[in-house]
Amino acid sequence: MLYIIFWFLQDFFQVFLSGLLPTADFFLLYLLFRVFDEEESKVLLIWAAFAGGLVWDLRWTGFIGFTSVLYVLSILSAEWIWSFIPETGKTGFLLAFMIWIISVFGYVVRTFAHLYPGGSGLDAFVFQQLIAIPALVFFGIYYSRRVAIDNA
Amino acid sequence: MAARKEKKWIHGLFAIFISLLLLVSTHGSRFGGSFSELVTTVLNIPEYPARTLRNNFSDIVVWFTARKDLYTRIKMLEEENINLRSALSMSNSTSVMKKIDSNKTTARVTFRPPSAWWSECRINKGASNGIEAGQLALQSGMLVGRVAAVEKDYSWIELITSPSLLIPAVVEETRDVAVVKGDGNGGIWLIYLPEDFRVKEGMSINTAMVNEMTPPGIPIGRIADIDSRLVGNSKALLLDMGGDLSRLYEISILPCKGD
Repeated sequence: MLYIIFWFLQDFFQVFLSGLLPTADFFLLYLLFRVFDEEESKVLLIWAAFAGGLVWDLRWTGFIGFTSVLYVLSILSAEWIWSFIPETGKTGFLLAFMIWIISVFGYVVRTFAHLYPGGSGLDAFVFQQLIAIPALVFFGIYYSRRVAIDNA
Repeated sequence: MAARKEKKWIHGLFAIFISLLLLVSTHGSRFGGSFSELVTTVLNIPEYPARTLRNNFSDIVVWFTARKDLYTRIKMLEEENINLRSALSMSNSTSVMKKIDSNKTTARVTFRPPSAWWSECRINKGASNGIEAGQLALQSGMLVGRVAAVEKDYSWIELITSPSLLIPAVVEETRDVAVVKGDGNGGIWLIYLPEDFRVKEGMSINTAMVNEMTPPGIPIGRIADIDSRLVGNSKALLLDMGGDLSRLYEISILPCKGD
């Protein structure tokens, strides 16, 4: 359910800012956040990313499959990198940082492919990162609290 | 655990494969376009609030922008109006100046110090034009002052409203002789009247013969009020000045008797 909510949140911002600035990838941010949850079904996550990316392409980019590849690749690479980090190093801050880095990678790829509805450029990038900050902070804090509870 | 991990990678790679397949197969095909249209039509329903909000926001932005444009335009028109008024005023001033300068018998007021507004002014004629100190200054035939100082090309006029200028005068109807004195605030007073003065409102006040520079019969003004007041130690009557010192642009200098 939350996948759908985050997808529509992203879509809402995209409609609202259409033609002005690109929205943040709230759906991708949430997918990446779920990657770091050990109990989350990664298979479900992968297919949710595929479906979300596909609908996004059908609605906005017109390159059907491009965003799906990007989302699934982001999930797999996040999972792969996260597996190298020792348990003691897995903090909320690192999680937020990793989500941010991978989402920036997605932004760069789409910018180079000229697939950003709403424009690209430094101002667009800064705006996109700014509206993503609350979500990143929330994910970081949520993860830290969970780790603290697990360690208690 | 290892099996789950392996399964996850297989699903991932399979999803990527399908995505790439879709990307290649739908690129430029009509199928992709019509499917996109269908998704857009369906999503139009949940996107309605965002679209409405965006439209309202755009309306507000347009309203503010239009308001700003209007304000800028008003400012521009105001500036243009000021410039036009200034140009018109300049043109009027220049034509008045030329008219005065073309008249050989009149002098133009070139300076009137605000600090001594009711006391003095400067004219553009001086000794080289035959002006001498003590000559009377007239505006449309009415006495407005006296030449106080003369330089080569300009002179200073002491105005009738100056408190230091005393002009002997006569009440035309009664032949009572008195003195006209300014109060330094734009008013002139008739002082040194006899105790039994018989003057009435509206009576004419003219200059009285004192010397060659001040001939008799030059109109000064009329009695405005017969309620006497004290100016210094003497009774005084307020006069209506014949000249208009608030519109003093040109002055005629009364020639000396010998001229």
